[in-house]
Amino acid sequence: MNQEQASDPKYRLKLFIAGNEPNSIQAINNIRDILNSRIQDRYKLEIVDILSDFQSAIDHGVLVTPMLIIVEPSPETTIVGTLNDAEKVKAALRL
Amino acid sequence: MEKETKTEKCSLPKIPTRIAGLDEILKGGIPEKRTTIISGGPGCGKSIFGIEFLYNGVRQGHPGIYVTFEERADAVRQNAKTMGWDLEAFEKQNLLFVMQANLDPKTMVSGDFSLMGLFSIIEGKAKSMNCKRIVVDAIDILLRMYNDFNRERSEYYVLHDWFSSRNMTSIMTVKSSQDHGMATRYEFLDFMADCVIHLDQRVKEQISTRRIRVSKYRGSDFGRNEYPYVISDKGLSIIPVSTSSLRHKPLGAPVSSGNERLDMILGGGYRKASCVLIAGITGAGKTTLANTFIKSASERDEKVLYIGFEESEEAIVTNMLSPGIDLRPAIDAKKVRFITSLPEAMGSEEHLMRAFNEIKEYQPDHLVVDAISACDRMGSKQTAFEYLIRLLNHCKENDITCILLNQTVQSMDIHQISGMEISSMVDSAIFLGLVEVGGEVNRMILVLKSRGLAHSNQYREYLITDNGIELMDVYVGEGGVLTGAARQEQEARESANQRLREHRIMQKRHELTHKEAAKQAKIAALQSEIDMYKSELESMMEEEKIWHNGRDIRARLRGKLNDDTLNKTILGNV
Repeated sequence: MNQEQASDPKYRLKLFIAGNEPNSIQAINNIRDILNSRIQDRYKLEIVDILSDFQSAIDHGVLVTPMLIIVEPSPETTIVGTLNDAEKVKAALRL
Repeated sequence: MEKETKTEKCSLPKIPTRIAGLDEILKGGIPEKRTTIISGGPGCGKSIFGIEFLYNGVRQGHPGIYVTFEERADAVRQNAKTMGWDLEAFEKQNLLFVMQANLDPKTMVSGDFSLMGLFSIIEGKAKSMNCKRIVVDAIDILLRMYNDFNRERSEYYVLHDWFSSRNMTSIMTVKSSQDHGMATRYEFLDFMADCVIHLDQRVKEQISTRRIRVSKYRGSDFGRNEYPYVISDKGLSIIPVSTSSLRHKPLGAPVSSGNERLDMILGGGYRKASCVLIAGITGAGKTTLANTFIKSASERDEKVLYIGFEESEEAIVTNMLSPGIDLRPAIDAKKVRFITSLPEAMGSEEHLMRAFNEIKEYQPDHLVVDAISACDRMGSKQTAFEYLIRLLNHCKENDITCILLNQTVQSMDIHQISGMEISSMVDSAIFLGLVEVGGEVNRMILVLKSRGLAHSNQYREYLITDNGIELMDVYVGEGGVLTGAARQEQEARESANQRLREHRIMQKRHELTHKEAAKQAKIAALQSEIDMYKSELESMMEEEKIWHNGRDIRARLRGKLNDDTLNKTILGNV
């Protein structure tokens, strides 16, 4: 588990990845770019590798990877894929 | 624990599904460590197929994973419960895992993704459970997220390869429809999978029937026909009529039909485990004859299952009271069980399964179907034929006597009276007919066939009385069998003749008596004549005496002397 956190996060996100699969790596890079460019230290991003933690995948219904769950701001939103469409991701984050 | 069966010809290892009838078609089961595709339209029972396979496996000690993309896991558990399968109990023992795998429909897609989440879950679970059997239900729901058919297609291959590489035996369900576009869309799956099973539900003449067909089995032989199947409250059941070998037992000893005279005509009664056809037009007394048998069977402590398509149990029981057949004691003693339904109520497979389940549970000695003519209403002639053939087959294999009632038109032809081509299955055939003679209608019974028994081939008249069916004596004369008034006339004529003969004898007897009397009379007359002569003679002699006396008096009057002299002279001359 990999956490990138702020002291008082307004944005809480979970990114589920599958090891070092190319699309997982792309997704990590893409979401970091978006977050760092827009909300810098106001977010908390949790990266979960389901290859080593399949129970999390069961608990969160992660059937496909990469999968981003935006926990805060509510309501919870799910985006799957490499998150290459920055506009779509920003819209989901209501930025 | 159960060992995987291996066929003799090839070494392909198979896993029995233990779904009734399916392993027979698959010659052992589905291929081990390979992918089997179940395709079918909505409501075909694809999901039930999968659950039943896993559940049966778990019961044999093989853990299983069920991944559902369409239904909620709770719904799956609940549905299974209606079949009597308690999935939760097995889940608690970590022998079964039902995974609800549906993505939130609001999920957005941005860029490429893979099925690694699913694989990771399955792999992790499979390892913790030591599971080798997996069912993936309706994965097309997930794959549709790609919104790209080629990608969808390649993911099926990924899935297939992933299962194969992990030596898992998998079943994937795939939707198909009559729609041609859909059929070709998933055609590639038929090439990919090692075993392909199609489920099909079709509605014909308002009655739905289900068919199963195996279209492919790599490295194995399989039954290539379409087989009817049903989804009952005990799961899927396939009835492979064409693969079922004939394991008929020989006919048993005769059992009484309940009517002594009919037994005589039949050559002893119905044969146990035989098929008896009672045909006749409406009102001929078919049901009465069948219930006569039921009554006597119940008294012999034998059980009868009554499959009624025409009347309810109450109606039959009430109706039978009028010919004096009281079924209530038999019902109370559980010697007769009725299953009544309208033929239209369900498909023929369901009718068949109901019958099979009842037979299994109730273990009857005999079975009555009232009436096979109504079976046509299950769909078509073909459906009715299949239903009956399978039912008869089942009964023959289980040593059950079948009494089939059939409503027919007025015809004596055995093919006609059986109504369908089941005549070869029929061991005994009884025809009940109405014959019109001299302006009235009479009931007639004829035994057309009584396999293995010497039977009478004569028509007989019968009556339905307050005491059941009563067979009359046979009258065979120049005009064939006589019935009703004609029979009575004949009887009257015969009795008249008899009376005439008796009369003649009486007459002779009388004549003789008269002669005797006459003789006596004549004797008496002669006697009286003699007596008369006697008396005449006596009277004449008396006259003579008187005359002599008179002469004496006259002589005395004329003078004694003369007279004396004369008298002396006369006397002297005399």
